[in-house]
Amino acid sequence: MFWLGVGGKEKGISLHSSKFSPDESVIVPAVKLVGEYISNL
Amino acid sequence: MVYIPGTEGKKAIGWRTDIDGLPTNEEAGLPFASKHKGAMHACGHDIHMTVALGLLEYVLQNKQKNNILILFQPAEEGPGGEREMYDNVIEPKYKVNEFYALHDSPEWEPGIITTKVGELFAGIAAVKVDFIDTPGHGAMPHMTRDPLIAAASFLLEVQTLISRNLNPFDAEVLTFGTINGGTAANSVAKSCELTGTLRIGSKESLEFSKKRILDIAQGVAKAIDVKVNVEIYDAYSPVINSPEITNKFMNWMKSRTDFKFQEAPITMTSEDFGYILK
Repeated sequence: MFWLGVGGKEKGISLHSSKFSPDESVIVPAVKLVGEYISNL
Repeated sequence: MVYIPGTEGKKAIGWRTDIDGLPTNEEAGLPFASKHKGAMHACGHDIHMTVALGLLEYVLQNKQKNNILILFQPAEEGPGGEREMYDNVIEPKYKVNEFYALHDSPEWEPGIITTKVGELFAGIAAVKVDFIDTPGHGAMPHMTRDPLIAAASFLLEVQTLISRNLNPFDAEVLTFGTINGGTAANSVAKSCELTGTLRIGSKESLEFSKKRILDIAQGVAKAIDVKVNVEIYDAYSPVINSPEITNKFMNWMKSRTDFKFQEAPITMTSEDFGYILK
């Protein structure tokens, strides 16, 4: 298991907060990263 | 759950995402925010699901030599959906050689991947301590046995578990989040219940801590002359990353230029993915 950094549009808001909004631009690169890793196994 | 046979099929690779929500109104103002009052995919589950769906699309578009199992798992936030899925579906039917998952984090900037060999998330034991005895009029304490005094004493005494009994280099947390007892200001209560969470790394420390909590509760009960019931049950296993798989992943990550890799510290939050890794 690993952590994927997603920052946050507003600092200091936790994952369990109703106001948390991640930087969703990380999703497509993350999919590519995981897909390539799994393909490489 | 989606199973995609590989062209060679010599081994199976698993990817897991959690799909459950939390009882929270989403107030982020995003166009894709939850439309269901009192329910949202918090704790990053929306990102986890989206990545898993993207991965599913990727492996369907790019033929894989290995078999791929993508697990969309319910009840991560409780009561431990991973155990149900693994014991009843995955383990009997599929032989997964390597299982992976991610958790998103606002603590790390976008573009950073971080993990470590060994314990990444703590295990959890849930603790309930209930002091019970003889209620009565507050003006006649000699006719009663007061569970609130015992609860107050226990709450302070049990702090010595972390501060005096456990190795300071081990990461451990004990938090009591609720204390409930009594119904009237001028009455001695019949009972006082405390509930808490024990976050702990090793099995040895967990077993030791469970015994110490029991000993302290019983000792306090004896000193105050009340009865006590103690319940401690293992809720989630720690997430312990295997050295072989994690080193392989970290070495591969370090060769990437699109993401930056950093070694992760242990965290006291929990994840029921630990059940599969166990």
